[in-house]
Amino acid sequence: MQLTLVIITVVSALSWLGLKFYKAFFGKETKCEGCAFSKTAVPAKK
Amino acid sequence: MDKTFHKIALVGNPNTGKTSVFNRLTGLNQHVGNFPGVTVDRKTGKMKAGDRLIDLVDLPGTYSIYPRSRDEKVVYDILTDKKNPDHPDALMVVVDASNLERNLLLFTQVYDLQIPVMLILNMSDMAFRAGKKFDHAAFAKRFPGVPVVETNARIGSGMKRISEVVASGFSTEEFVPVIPDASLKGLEDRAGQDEETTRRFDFIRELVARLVTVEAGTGQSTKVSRLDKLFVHPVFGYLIFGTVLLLLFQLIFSFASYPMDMIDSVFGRLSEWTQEAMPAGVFTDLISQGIIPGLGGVIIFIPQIALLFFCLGILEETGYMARVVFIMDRLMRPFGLNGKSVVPLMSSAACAIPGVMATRTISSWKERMITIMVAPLMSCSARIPVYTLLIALVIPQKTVLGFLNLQGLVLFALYALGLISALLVALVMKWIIRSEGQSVLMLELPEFRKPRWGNVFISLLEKVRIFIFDAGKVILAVSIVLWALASYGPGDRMEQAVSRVEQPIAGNDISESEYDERVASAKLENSYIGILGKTIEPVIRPLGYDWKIGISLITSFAAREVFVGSMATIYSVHYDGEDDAGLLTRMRQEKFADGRPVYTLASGLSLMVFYVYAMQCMATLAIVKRETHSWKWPLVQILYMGVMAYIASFIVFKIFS
Repeated sequence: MQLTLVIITVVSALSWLGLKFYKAFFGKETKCEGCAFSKTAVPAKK
Repeated sequence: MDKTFHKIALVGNPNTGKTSVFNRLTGLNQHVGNFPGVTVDRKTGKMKAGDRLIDLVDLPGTYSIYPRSRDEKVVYDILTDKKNPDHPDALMVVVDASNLERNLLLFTQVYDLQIPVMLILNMSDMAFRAGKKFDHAAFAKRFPGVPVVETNARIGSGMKRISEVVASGFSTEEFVPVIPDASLKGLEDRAGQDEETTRRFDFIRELVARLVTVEAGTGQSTKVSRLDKLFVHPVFGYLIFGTVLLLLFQLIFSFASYPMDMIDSVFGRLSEWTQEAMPAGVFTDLISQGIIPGLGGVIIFIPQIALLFFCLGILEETGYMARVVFIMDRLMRPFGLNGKSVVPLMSSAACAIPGVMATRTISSWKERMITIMVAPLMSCSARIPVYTLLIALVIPQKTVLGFLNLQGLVLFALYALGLISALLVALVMKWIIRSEGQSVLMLELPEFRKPRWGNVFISLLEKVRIFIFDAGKVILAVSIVLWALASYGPGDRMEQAVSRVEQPIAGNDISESEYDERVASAKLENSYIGILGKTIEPVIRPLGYDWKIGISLITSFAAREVFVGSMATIYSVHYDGEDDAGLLTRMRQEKFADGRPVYTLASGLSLMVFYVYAMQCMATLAIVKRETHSWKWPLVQILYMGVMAYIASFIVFKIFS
């Protein structure tokens, strides 16, 4: 049971980090979430 | 003429309180997007006028309708092209009532476009305090049909009147042009634009002389100008700014250390309690060794972040920061960074993301690229947790020169190193990437005023909230992944390594605690993270780092402050001493295989210098890629900053070893 919970937690954390990376470089919107001073960045529409 | 408006645009010079007026009129009923084709924020909202809701667009601040940057061009395009989807039915021109001479240029330009216009005299309280009185009758005589509303957006006065005027409508039926024979100049016709602007200013000077009367005996201007002579003085200005920063960093180390020690101890105990209270197993280990230490690594820095932003908030509120921008412009000019580069670089001292985005106002492409390239060298707030952890670890808590806290002095030096490096790199880049023309910084120094404590605390709470929930999420996720990588290894490699550890038996002098320590080390070194760390160790060893620091260097590519969360997780998994010991205690006890301490003055300083230079921020790289529309610039940035970080850290380590 404990191992299942660990697997779910670790996979969720990994997926979330991967999604963040993808969104930062290839997504339509980006937001500074990696530092203590956040601002919304709205990219140009193609 | 139909006086019913559907869409109204707000225009005005920067720093006139235009956005405050917009916020007051729309309340929470607003949306941030972008103008088609350009990366410039587009704020739209709905304002109530009578029983109708009218679209309100907040256009970028500009001094003239003739643009000098991309965001100013947005205003030109929208106002001059009636087919533009954002072209408004009417305009509200927000001006600083205490400085009409400069502000009225834009008003006269848009008036001549024959779009129905309303004049909003904002900051009317300041004009009143300066003894300035506006002659409404004289204005109405010269600009018939143009309504004028006096406002103070800081407290919301005049907003009801604006809604009433919009509801009743206004028009250009009695239009009397400011410059009768002037036609709108093309974007390339700089000479024509300059000639027209000169004529307009001649008109405005005469107009203001008729419209504004100044009562004698206000006295405040003299006091302000005396203070400004000191704050923007070529020598004293920098001395005062240096002293302010020094005091700020002294405060951070003097006052924040007590709550930090308390938080450190609380999380140590919480980790121990979780281990005892929950059923034994891997999920319990994940919580007590991965999640809790990772969270503790975030929470512990709240006192310092809060104190820093509290002090910066006060400086901003009093109007002192505008003086800092002014003197920084003078400092940066010899290094090729001038004019509009100053604001992005000063913003980068908080975070490089808004700093890089603020370069959109720079019209010269090359100057913009240079500013983007050096902006991440300014010490951002994400570096504070790393700096303060390492300073507390290797710099003794003692006083120098009788009153200066040595730890605060080192933090000041790290900030200064970032600024000096940014200037020097800009100088080199200016030489490599030759720039055509230079931009000019137009800055209005606001009057000194008492800080509004509500604003200071709201801003402070916002920064702390963002630090906990935004940065915290990344640190937490990285801590979870790190814990897994530190707790498991390929095949039975960890078990084999443990079986090779010599057991404490009669005949050898290995104690039980030494045995446990060796088992924990053997497990960690043969885990996935250990194998990765050992692989990269030869590269970072010349800088004085062990493989555990190497792992944290890799994970902190996500964001710099992830370093502290990673260290907390790695040492929590490995540590076999007292369970409630804090991260600092664990790091202080860390030793190389030959018994030498890992964290010495040399390795600590080397690591701090590494973080001054290294491009350890995925979000900044992403924004640079977006702003430059190319992978080339972020790659150049990561490469040149990485090389600088490695060489500088190596030199520092060798000097202090």
